[in-house]
Amino acid sequence: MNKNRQHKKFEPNFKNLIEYRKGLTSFDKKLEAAKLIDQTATVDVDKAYRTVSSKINKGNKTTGIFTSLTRIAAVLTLPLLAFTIWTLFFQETNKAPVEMAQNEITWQKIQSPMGMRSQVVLPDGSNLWLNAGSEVKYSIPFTRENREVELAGEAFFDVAKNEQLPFVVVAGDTEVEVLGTQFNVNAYPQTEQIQVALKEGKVKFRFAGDEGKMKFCELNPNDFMEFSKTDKTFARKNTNIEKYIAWHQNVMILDDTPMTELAGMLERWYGVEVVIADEEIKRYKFTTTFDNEPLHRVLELLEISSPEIKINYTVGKPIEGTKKFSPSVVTITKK
Amino acid sequence: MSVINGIKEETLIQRLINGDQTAFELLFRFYYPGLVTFASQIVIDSTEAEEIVQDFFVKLWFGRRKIKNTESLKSYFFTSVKNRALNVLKKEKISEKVREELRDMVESDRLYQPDLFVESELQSRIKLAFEKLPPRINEIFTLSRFKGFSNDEIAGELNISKRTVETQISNALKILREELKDYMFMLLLF
Repeated sequence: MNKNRQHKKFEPNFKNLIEYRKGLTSFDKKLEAAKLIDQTATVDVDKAYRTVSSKINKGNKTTGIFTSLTRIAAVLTLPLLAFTIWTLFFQETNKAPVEMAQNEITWQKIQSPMGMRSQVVLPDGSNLWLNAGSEVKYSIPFTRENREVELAGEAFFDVAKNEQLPFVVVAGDTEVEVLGTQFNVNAYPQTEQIQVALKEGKVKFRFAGDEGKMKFCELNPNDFMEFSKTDKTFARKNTNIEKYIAWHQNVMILDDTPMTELAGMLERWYGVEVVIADEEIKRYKFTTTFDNEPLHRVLELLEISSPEIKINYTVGKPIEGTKKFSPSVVTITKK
Repeated sequence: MSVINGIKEETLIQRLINGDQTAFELLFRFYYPGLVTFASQIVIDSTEAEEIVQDFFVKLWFGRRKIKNTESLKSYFFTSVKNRALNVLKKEKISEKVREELRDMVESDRLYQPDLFVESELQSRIKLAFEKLPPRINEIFTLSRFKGFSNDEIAGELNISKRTVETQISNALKILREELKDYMFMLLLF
């Protein structure tokens, strides 16, 4: 520990502190107390949590990191090959060394497991909120000819303005390009739709159409767009987009939301498994707002709001022979 | 027991024991700043204090199943961090005599009581007293007492006379004396 620290601990410093504290009058002590309270406000909790979170998530992901590294290696091979061909045939002799150095890329990957949302500040100062069960990946250096992140899942972006460097979100075969704005992209790989909701500014949504031709659709503030991956069609409407973006402030808004959709939200939001044990209640719809409520409160309120349903919660148990837990299960039945 | 983000600490501990990372994050965010400030009052080094507290939380996560639900987290957290901090000093070859004196001070002096470092009545009362200061006086007073600027430096920085700085500081002290007087019962040992 502390090999890099410049000064070793210096005993007189501690003696001085003890003497100083002893010499304080009772009034000075109150001021000192206020000073300490003041100090707690300057601690950077976000940064610290990122460090701790990466440490506690490291242990169980060794295989994951290995496979993703091979994948990244494969992704890198193509550009490298292209670069080699380019250097061999087309490159003008006078500008090689600098470009070479700039082409060294590493990838930064950030994941939010089920039941957890995280906030990330990107190297260009843009803010990104990552919803549960989602992943983003970006290259370092980040700002080259554009600012590109790859998204699998849902994220809310608050992009720092830079007219020269477009910000591009790549989700599957589609792209959202912006200059500086706030918007939400919902693109879980397992769902059929990709949804984009724009709060401010302008974004361009691009996708490969039927004949492989690139098509695009422009969004204005308060536009909500839904793209179907199989039909390659989109529908856009100007609406209140609050319910699509509120999650990044820990608020869950239900607006005529069907039970099946709500079940998916609860699963991601709280990392539980939701079982709907009755076909009829799958058709129920809910309209309400949960502001940062714990799961048991949410379940309680749902039960109160619709007297025909009964909700059961079973806490997950350790799985024998492993260090893992089975997920907690929420069962919704008809009374 | 504390209530964190509207959730009872008990519930959070139970969820933490079950491996819920969100519960862990809430506890972390609630206690981290206070624990770091507390530890930095022992090792006199904020970077080292952050390392100590982060390390503690990492161990807490991996040892979560050994936590007993009845324990008061506050005193458990602060006691653990105190011991870790004193252990660091031992490795740094600070003599036992000084370490003992430091330990005595941490255990008896009210400047080290956990309630000062986490949201509590004591903390909010002290904050409230400072809110009673007019903004300008507060600014001058903060620069002087908390940020360690000299009266000359403050005068130069704010473009006012040194005399004004002195008067404002003595005004601030007068107001604070009056405000904090009422909270004597909370701060009995100060």
